[in-house]
Amino acid sequence: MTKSQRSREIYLNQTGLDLLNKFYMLTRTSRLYEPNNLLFVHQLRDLLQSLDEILQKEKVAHFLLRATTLLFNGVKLKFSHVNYHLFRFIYDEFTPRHIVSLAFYPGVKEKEIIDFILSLKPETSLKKDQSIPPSPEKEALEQPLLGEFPHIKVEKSAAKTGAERKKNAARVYFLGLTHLKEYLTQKKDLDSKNLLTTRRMIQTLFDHIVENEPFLYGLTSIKNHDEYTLNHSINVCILALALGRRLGLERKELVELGISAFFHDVGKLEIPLEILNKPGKLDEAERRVIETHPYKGVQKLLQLPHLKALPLQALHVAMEHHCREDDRGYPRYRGKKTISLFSKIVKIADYYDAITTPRPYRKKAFTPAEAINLMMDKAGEEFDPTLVKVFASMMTACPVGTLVLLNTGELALVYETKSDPPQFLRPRVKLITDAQGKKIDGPIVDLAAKDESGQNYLRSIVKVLEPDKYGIKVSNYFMAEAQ
Amino acid sequence: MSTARKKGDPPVANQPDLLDEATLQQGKELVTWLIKTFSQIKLYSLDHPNVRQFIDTLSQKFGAFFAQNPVLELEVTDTAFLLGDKKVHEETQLIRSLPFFFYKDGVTRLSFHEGLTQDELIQFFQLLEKISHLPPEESDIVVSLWEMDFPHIDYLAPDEFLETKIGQETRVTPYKVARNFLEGGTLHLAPEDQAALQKYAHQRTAGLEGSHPSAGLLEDEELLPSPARFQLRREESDRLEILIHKHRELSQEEETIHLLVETIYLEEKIQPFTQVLQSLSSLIEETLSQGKVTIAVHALDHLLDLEKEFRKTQPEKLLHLNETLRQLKEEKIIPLLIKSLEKMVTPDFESLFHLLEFIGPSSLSLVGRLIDNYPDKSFQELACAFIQKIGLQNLPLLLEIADDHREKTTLVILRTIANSDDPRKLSYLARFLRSRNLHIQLETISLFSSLPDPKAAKLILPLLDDPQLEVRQQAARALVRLNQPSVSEDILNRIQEKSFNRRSLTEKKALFAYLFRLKTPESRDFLKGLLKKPWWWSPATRINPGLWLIDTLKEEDRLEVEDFLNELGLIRNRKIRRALQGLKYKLKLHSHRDKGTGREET
Repeated sequence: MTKSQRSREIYLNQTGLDLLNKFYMLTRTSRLYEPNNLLFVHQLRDLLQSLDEILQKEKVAHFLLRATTLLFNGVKLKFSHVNYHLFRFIYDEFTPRHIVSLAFYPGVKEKEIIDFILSLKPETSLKKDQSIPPSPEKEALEQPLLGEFPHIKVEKSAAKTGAERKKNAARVYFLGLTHLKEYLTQKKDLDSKNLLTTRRMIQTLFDHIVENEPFLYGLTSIKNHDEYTLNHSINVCILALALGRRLGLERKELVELGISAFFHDVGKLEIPLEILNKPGKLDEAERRVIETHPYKGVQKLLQLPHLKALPLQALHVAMEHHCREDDRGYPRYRGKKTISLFSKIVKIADYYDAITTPRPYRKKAFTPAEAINLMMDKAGEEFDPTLVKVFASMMTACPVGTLVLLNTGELALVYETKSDPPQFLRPRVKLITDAQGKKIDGPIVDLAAKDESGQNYLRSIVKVLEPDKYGIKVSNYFMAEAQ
Repeated sequence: MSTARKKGDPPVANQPDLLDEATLQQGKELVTWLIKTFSQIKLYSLDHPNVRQFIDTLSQKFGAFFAQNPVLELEVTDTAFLLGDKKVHEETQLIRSLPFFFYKDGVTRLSFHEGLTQDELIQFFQLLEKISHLPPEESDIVVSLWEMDFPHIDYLAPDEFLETKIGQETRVTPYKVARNFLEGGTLHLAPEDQAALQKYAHQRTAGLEGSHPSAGLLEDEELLPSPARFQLRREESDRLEILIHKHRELSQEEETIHLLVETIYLEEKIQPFTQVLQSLSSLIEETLSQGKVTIAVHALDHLLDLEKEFRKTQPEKLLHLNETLRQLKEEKIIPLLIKSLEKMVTPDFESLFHLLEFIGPSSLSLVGRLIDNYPDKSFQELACAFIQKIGLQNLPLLLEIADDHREKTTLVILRTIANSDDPRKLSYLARFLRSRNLHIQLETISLFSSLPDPKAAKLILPLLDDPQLEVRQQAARALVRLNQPSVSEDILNRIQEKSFNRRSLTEKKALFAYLFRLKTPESRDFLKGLLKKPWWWSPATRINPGLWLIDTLKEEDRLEVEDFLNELGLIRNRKIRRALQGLKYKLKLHSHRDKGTGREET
C-alpha cells in the first residue's frame, strides 16, 4: 500500500467514525426529545457540518454493512472498546430493516436529515387500540421503505429473517458442542486438520455473535448438568469472543481467543468425576487435585502432534484461567508472572458461566444479574478491574436470560439489552406470564415504551427472580425461538 | 427482456438479477482474466513482470466493469463460475479448477465489489497462491478469507458445510421445545416477591418513582450496580489500550517457555514431567533454528534455576533435567546455531555469547567461524572476551581457531595462553614464533620474554637471524628481558662476527645489554675487553663497537654502570676515553644532583 493510500485509509477511518458518532448521537437524542429541542438542533447542525465537509471532498458519504464489517467509502472501519457501541448501533438499526447501505450525497439539508432520522424512530409509544408496540423487525416488514430522500439513499437486501438467523445460530452452537465432544471423547485428535475445522467453527460462531449477539447470550443459558464441561466450554467461548470483540481485537486474535476458550478446561479430563461432581465441600487433598487441572490442561494440549496448529495462547489460558489479580489463585508460580490478556478474558467468561450454572456443590446458581454484581465487587482482586467493567457493560446490570418481575405482575425474560448504561434497566423482554401469572408465549416488549401521554413507562422491573424457584428453564425460551 | 441492475439501484428482494448480454460478456472476460492471472501466479512470483502485467490488466478490467455495475457476483459450483445463471467459466478437471478450489471449502458465492483496489487483488492472489501449495487437509480458503476480511471481496459459505466436517460419528442435537410447552399452567408469586410488587405499587402511588429511566427497580437497587459503575473512565480506557498493546508486543515464544517451565516445576509425576520437558526442549530448539537466541538463552537460564531447586528436593526430576541439558549442550545447540547462521539470521550478540558460555569450550570452533562472519566491532570485542574467559578451560581447542588471518583473535589467544598455568604453554606459543603474520610473530616473541621457562631463550635465539628487522630487534629485546645464561656463548659469538656490524643499532644495543645484565665474569670480561681493545675490528674501517656499548650503558642501571666503570682501569683509546668521560659526567651530574648541592660541577 502506498503512503497516500495509507493516509487516505486513516482519514476515512477517522472521518467515518466521527460521522457515525454524530449520527448516533442525533438518533439517540431524537428518541428522547422533539426536533425543536436545543440539544437536537445543536447535534443536527454538527452532523450537517461534518457531512458538508466530507461531501465537498468525497462527493458521497457511504456506509456499507457487509456481514460483520462496516465500511465507510470503501474503507473498513476499525472499532475498539471506546466506540464499539457505534457498530452495534448501526447493526441494530440496519439489520432488522434489512438495510445494507446508507449514503449521503451533496445537497442534503437539515429537513431531509430530520425526516430520515425520525423515520428510523421505533414506535415505542402506544398507538390507539394497541396494547403492545410493534418490534422494529415487524415494523420493517410492514414498512419496507423508509421514505423518499433525494440526497439520502438506502439500499436493502433480501437478508435472512430473525427467525432464520436464530435457527442457524442454534445449529452452530450445537455443532460446537458436537465438535468439542469429539475431542473430549477422543473420537477426534487434536491434529492440524481438525484444528482447522475448529478455527472455522469459531469464525462461524463469531459471525453469529455479531449478527445476533443477544440470542447467543441466551443460548449460554443452556446448562447441561451431566456434560457440564461441554456446555460450559462453548458458553465461555461465546462470552470470551463477545468480550474480545468489544475490546477491538483483530480477527486473527479473536480466533485464537476462541480456540483458547474452547480448550481452557481440557485439563479437567484428568480429574476424577467424583471430585468434580462432589456435592459437598472439597477437603484439602481434593482441592489439591482440582488445582492441578490447569497444568494438566497444558500437558494435554502439548500432546498435540502439530503444536504449531494450536495458538500458543491456548496453553496460557489453560494454565492461567484460575489465576487472580491479587495472586491468590492457582496454580502458584515460582516467580511472579503477568497473566496474559486472553487468560484474563477467559477467566471472566469462565467465572460468569460457572456461577450462573447449577452445580452439585452449590445450593443455587446465581442469577445473571447477581453474577454481574458480584463480579464487579471482585474487580481488582479476582478479575482485572478494567476488563470486568467492560464485560459488565457488555452484559449490563440485567443480562440476557435474567428472569424479572414487572410492576404489572407479569414475569419476563430479558431478551435484548441496551448499550447505554442509563438504559440498562430498560431492556427488551419477553413476557412469559400474564399479570395473573398464567404462563404465555408472550411478545417481546421494550421496557422503554411509554404510555400515550409519553410520560409514564408501561412496564418497569421490580425485582430479579430466581428461575429455579418457579421451575423455569430459561434456555427453553431461547431454543423455542430457534425452532 | 432482461433488466440489468445498474449502479445505485437497490436490489429487489426475492427476484433474480437479470443481466444483459454486454454485462455478461464483460463479466465472462473478467473471469477469464482472473483465471489466467491465477495461472501466472502459480508459475511465477508476484514480482515477476508477467504477473504484474496480468494484475494491472485485471485491475483495469474490474474498473471498467464497476463503471457500469457495482458488483461482480459469481455463483460457485464444483466446476464452474456462474454470472446470473450463465456459466462464465468451466473447468471439469478438479485439480486445476479454480471454482473447485473454493467449492471444496463450502463457498457458494464469491463477490467482488466496486472500490476493489489493486493492493487488495494482489493480497487476494497471494492468499490463493499460499493456500494452493498446502495439502487439502491443512488448508481452508474460507478460514483465510475470513481472517483477511477484504473490504471489497466477500463470499458466501453456508454454515451447513460445517456439518460435513463435524459430527459424523457423534452428534449433540439441538433439543426441540414446542412453543405450546411455554404456555399453560399458572405461576404463583412467592410471598416475598408478592410483597416486593406491593411495595413497588405503594411507593409509586406515593410518588416516589422518578422519571429517570432506571427508576422502577426500587427493591433491588442496592443489589444492582448503578449505571455510573459501568462507564469506563478515561484512565481505564487508556489502561485498556496499554493492556492490548502489551499483549501484542509480547513474545509468544518467551511467554510459552516461561509457562512450560512453571508446568515442569509444578508437575509431580515423572512421566508427564518428562513430556513437558521434552516439549520445552523442542521449543528451545525451534527458537534457535529461527535465530531467536535471546529467547533460547532465557529458557536455559530458567532451566538452570530449576536445576538448583531440584538438587535440593527432587533428585529424580534432576536426573531428567540434567540429561536434557546435556543433550542441548553437547548435541543440539551448535548444529542449530550453524543452521540459522547459514540462513543469514543475525542473532543478538550478547545473548549468543551467553549461550556459547553455557556450551563451554566445545563452542570455540564455532566462535572461530563467527569471527570471520561478523567483522562488527562489538562482536569482535565480545568474542575476545569470550576467548579469554572460556579458552582457558581448553587450550588445545583454543589453538584450533588461531590463524594468521584472524590477527586480532589470535593475539588474544596468545595472551590467554601466556597467562594460563598450563605447563605446555611454551610449546603452544612456540608454534607462532614463525608465524607469517608479523604482528602475531612479534607478539609471540614479546610473550616469550615473560615466560620463566629456561627453554624460552633458546627458542628465540634463531630469530636473531630472521630476515625481518622488527623480528630480530624484538628477539634481541626479548633475550634481554629473559636474561638467561644458556645462550650467552652464542651471543658472544654473534657479536664477534663481522656480520654484527650490519645489525641495526637497536639490535646491537640489545645484545650488549643482554651481556651487561647477565653479570657473569665472562660477559663482564668481554665487555671490558671491548672498551680496552677491540682487537677484532679493523682500524681501517673506523668502527668502534665500544662506542655502541657505551651508548647501551647510558640506559642501564646507574649503580651497575658505576660499578662496571670502576672496574675498567686505564683506557688507551681516546675516543673511548672521551665517551666514557661523557658517560661519567652524565652519571656524576646525576650523583651531584643526588647529593643535593644544586650546583653543577664539571
